[in-house]
Amino acid sequence: MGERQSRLRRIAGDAGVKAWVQLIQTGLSSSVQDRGRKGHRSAGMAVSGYLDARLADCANALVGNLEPSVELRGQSAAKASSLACLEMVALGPSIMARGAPVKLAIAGELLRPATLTDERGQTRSVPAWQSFVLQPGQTLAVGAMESVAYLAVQGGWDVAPVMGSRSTHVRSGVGAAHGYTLKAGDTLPCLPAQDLDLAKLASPWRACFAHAVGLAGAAADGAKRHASEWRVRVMPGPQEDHFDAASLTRFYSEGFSVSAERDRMGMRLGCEPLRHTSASYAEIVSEAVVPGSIQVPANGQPVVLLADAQTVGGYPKIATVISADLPLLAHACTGAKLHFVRVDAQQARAALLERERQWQAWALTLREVVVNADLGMIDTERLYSANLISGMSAEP
Amino acid sequence: MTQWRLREQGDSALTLELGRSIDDALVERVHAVAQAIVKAIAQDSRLREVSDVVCGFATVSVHFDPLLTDVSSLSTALHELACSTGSQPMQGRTWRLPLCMDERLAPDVQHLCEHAGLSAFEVGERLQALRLRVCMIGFMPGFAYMSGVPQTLAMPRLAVPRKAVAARSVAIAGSMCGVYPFESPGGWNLIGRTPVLMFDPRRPQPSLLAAADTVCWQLVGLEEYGLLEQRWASGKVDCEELLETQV
Repeated sequence: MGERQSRLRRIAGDAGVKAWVQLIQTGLSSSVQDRGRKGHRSAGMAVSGYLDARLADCANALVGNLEPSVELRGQSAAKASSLACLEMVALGPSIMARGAPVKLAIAGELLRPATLTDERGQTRSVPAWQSFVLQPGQTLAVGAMESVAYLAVQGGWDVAPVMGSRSTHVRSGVGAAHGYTLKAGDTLPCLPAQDLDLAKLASPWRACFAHAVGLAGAAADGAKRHASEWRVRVMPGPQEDHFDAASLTRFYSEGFSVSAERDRMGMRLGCEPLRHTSASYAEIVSEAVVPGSIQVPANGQPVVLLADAQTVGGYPKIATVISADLPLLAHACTGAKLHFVRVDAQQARAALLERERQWQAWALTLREVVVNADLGMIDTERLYSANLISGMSAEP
Repeated sequence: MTQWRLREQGDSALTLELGRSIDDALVERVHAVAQAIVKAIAQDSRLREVSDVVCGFATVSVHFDPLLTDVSSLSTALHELACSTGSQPMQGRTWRLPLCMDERLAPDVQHLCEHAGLSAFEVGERLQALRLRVCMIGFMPGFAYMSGVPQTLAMPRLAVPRKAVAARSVAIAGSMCGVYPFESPGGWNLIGRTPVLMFDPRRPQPSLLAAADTVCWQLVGLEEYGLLEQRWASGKVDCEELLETQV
């Protein structure tokens, strides 16, 4: 945890104030995630973690969860936060703040703004992409979203790490706050809000981000439509030689539709079955796989593995999604079409560096307007006068 | 045995393919190479960003941070290690794990007896005499693929997998034996249950078993199984108790 975060905790501790939120309704599937549980694949433990790490980083940034800058090759570089977010899929939860006010923000595409209900039953809208305070006794109902969105709290969700991470491996229940995905009545500990007004940050970040994930037509008033065709870059194989030539041609020319069979472990794609070179090539001797592996079992229907996927597999892999494009998979909804584009290692690296550069430009601009980084205080005058568009590329 | 290929798995992993089959000698070579790589991570800066080394039956995969890794120098390092490492791994630990074959815990025992043409008692004796080798861990956290089930006891997996297999069920498919650490769907033949927590995230080493370990079964009756299960649930068992002591 960064020094700033530990100082925030000491402040909260000194005041003896505890804060937490209570789950009133879970939504479809909400789980606590962070950057993942690395180093345990040889024990069969998946890395898990965010389906879209950069989107979660946005949510964290919006509530001031920023790690101290690091020096990278002589330049100041932003470091993504290691604090946990609540990952929400399709339909978000309803939560109530308890104990003390909490500072929250949502990053993602909500179908309509979230609803904040106060103690008297009065409601107001809270859109995504801006931070706000939830007072004890107030409720936030997140509602429906295009795909995946993240709910961050200032100071991070304070659930106990398991095997070094707060990520939830839904299949085995490892790391879950109270078991598997969150249930009504569960509580999530966090920190009381520090004085930090980021209310006006919404549009520039969202516009930049929307482009980065290929969202079509993101407009200022929130009207948007998720892309229905996605370009997904892949490196071939490692078992490309297990497929006949016609199937390989089809793989790189046709669109593959995302079926309703999807979860954090993987997504099944619908298509005319792909064909292996022979029946015996429909299986391989089990070996390690990665998130992004595209397995094709005997039935010829590809399955793209995601964060919670098993660590090994016995099916041939026709291609592997590059790291830079993994987050796109989180946002391709049922019925969307994936078009696979073949790239090599150099191109994969260039794509990753470009995503990193976008994040750096964006996060560093945010840092410039946050003074007294230790307490996350913001210089609002500087914020309004800063040209927030400069340094952020709108190129996808 | 000195042939290998290095393949990319996207931009975040490399797989050293040491063979394409399942056999004991190849498994040993896999373990030897994996151990050499793990040792080299601390000593060779080209492996600094490697986060995981994962054994397959015939492969060793290396997972790394794609942003921070120079893949070509990592590849060179892996080729050097594959070249300089022999085929004899360090032996892992040897475990003696309790196994209860009561039919109420093991729905496929009867089927196993019929398949083997042996009584339950004889099957139990054969199982206790086995020294199973852990080839790799995967499928679920703590699930060990163990080779060494003899032909007599080897049964093909179920045509239709069960939707829910009880946690800690001991199972056989072909010449492999495994233990389901959690309740999960499963297509292997259930021939017993163990009270041992095969995976516990609270332990310093959450998975009891690791590649290159040896496992022997110790039969226990239903009553003793129940008592052991309670001891494990209460957290009062030290895994070290299960290590086979040297004679």
